[in-house]
Amino acid sequence: MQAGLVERAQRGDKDAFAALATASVDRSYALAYRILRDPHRAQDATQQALLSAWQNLPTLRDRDLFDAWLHRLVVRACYTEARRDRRWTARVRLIPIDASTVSDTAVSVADRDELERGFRRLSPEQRAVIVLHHYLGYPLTEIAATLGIPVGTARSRLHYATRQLRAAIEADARPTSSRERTA
Amino acid sequence: MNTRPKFEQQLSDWLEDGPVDAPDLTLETVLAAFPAIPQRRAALRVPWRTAAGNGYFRRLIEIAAVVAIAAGALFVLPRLLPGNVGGPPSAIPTTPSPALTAGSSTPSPSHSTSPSGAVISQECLGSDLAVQVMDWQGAAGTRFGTIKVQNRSATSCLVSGTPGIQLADGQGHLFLDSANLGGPASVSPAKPVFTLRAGGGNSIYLMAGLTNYCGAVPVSPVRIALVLPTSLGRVVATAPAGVAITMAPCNGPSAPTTLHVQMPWSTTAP
Repeated sequence: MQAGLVERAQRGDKDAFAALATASVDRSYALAYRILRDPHRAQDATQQALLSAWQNLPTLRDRDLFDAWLHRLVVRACYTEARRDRRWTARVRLIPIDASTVSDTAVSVADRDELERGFRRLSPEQRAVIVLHHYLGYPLTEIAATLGIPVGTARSRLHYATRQLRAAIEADARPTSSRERTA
Repeated sequence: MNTRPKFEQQLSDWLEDGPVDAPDLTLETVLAAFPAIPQRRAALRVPWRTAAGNGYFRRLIEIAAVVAIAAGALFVLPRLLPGNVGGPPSAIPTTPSPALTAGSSTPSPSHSTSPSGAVISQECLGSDLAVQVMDWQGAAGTRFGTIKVQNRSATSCLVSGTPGIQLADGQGHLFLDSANLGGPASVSPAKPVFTLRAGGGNSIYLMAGLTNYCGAVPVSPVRIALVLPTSLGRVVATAPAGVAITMAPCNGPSAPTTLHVQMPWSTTAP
């Protein structure tokens, strides 16, 4: 059914595109939000991606690839949105987490906070591969196809992004550990 | 049995958290905007990805294009060289086509000749331009507006790049400047270059966006100004009656305010 809508939208059928946009907006937003970690920027990126999809839809040859193609547009819109404010990584505020004062039930909250901080330090390209792999569950070949990069590049990007994220989290945790040791 | 490393599992769980539904205004904005945007029609449709060797396929097309151009040049050039009178009569007319000298009545990106055929190399200055805010709308946490630009000078001039945006209050005090908010004037993108014909002969448009304003309420009426890249000047926009520039709602003082070009120059109103 979706291929039929895509075909009609490619011919300029506005109702068909409206149906496609309605069906795609939530997952596009969810993807954009996870890359950008900002609801307003995610909203802007989603809108840009969907408008770009309408504009460029006649160039899409394989209608069954609409979803993957739209994901590509969303990721690109996220890159643009992220680079609109190059200071975005500098907005990360380092709030020390005192693990000695949090209860067991709040440990996961602390973990999430560390993940959030570490993730915000990654480049948009690194964020995209992490989200495509760990959120959408894409294998490397699908990530490569979606982003228009070689599989090897996708693999190394995912590897270094994961390593950098791990390192950032460990670096965040270090002062807390040393404080715990001295206490 | 779950064999995923703990860190990756944590990462996946963390990513699972978060919104899965877009705010209603996201879709409403798209549905309102897209009918006015023309679709790009591809003469030759190349798949956005091919199963086997996208790079190889593209290289083949590039080689074929180079060969075709070279063959065409070899065929045409000898006929154009002076003194080559022994060849067959040329099908190329000896007088230029009117379409090439009279110019197009519709504006065209990267069009860089004047109606008289002279090459335009002069960039538009702020003082050349008339700028008008056509509308100023609200979406969730965002304000955006369409800005129309015309050339009011006596000579055609060129516009490219991305302008900066400033907001000044009713007393003329500048209180927001995109140069400090993530959207400074930039020479990028260098292309397309838009020709603005003299005397307001045509218009170009862009969309400006503002998010998360947490400052003091500015004195009305708020004015918007465009700052052209490479010190070409600044021009304050007029606004017709009924169009008021309102501030985007504050979504959190710790989050950044942005003022930026949301959609770049276009020959059609977004």
